[in-house]
Amino acid sequence: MSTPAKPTKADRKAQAREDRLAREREEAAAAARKRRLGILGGVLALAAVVVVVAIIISGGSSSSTGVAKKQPGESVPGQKDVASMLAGIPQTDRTLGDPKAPVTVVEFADLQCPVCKDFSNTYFPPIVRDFVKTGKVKVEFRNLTFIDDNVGGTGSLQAAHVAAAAGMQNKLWNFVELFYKNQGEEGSGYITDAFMKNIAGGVAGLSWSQVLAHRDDAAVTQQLGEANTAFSRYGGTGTPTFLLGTSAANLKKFGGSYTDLSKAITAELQKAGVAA
Amino acid sequence: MSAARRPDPLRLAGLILALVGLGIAGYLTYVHYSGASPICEISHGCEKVQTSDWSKLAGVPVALLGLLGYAGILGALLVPGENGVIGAAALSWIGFGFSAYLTYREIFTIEAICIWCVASAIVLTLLTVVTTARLLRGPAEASGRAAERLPAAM
Repeated sequence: MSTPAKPTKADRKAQAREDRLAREREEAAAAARKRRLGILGGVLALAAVVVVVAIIISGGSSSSTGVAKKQPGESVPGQKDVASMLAGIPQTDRTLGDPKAPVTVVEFADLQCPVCKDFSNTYFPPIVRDFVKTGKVKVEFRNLTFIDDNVGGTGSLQAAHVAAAAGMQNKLWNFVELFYKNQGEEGSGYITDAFMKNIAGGVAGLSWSQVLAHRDDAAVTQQLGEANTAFSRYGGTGTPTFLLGTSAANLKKFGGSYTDLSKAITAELQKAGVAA
Repeated sequence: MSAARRPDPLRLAGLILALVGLGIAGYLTYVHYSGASPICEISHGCEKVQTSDWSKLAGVPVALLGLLGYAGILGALLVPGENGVIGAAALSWIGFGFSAYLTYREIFTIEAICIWCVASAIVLTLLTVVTTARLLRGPAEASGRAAERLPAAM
């Protein structure tokens, strides 16, 4: 049996060197880890600052009610978007678009109706862009006031009279679309002359004094009555309700969701032999 | 004989994710400027989101910001060394944070889901994981070289 050889001085020196190297490697790794964690902390702090600033910019000036934000140069929130959407499109009374357009869409709506607002803000602009501006479709507005019966007050009726009077100046669509951009809560009493005067002030070329002079004309009352009659005749139950057809004589109620109106228009155009 | 240099798997994963994100943001930017309707099957959610108050940041379409963000991450991933690693992680965290905020807005304010935005949020989450892991690990090539150099320095 042999005894282990006693480490020589050179062996002990080599071992000490190995130990020191191992210790240095560990210390270097720990320092590198600490440094990387510090960098990560800096990265997170930077990201947090940038994201908070972005959130403030994107959300700071908008309310959660969905009312449009006022852009620079606007007296009424949303007026630039509305003006841009309707620019260059002919308007005659309640009709938007080329009077000779091969397809007609009739919209029954109540200016207090939040679903009509959703349609107006989200689904109507692409329809205007793709079908109305191109002269393929004209849209006729039929103003209803049934929300007054449901929630009380006369807001819908007052707004309908003003919209019809705006139609006499061929600005009904500008008024209606800008109204939706600034729509308040149903039945809350926000629809006053001051509110509507402000909306009218955001429509270039619309005279508020002329609106006041004509909003109670017999023709306006008759127009609103006819809209109610037509709504009942076509079996309308809520707003927005749409009729589609290639002429006034063959209008049919669109039974689908307003989110699919664009597809229905495309189908109607195909029936009329017009490429969508 | 030296072994063939293998690509860093984290960097490779980051590059692939950044390219996917670039494709998504590029498509949404094209949709925004062309005025086309996004290909979306969930109740026109993308159109609703794309036309909402939250679709722009200081007048700049969020889709365009996303495109620039992904391009920045891709560029940072291509930059060798520590600056590229830090840059990619920082941009990923910024994108992840803002994407999380926009997803919250989609669900609770706009009440619509855009599948393209969800896809982008997933890509940004994965990118954040990958770039952060790369940052904490340190440069793979550099740590290997340091281990080789230490004894020789003695």
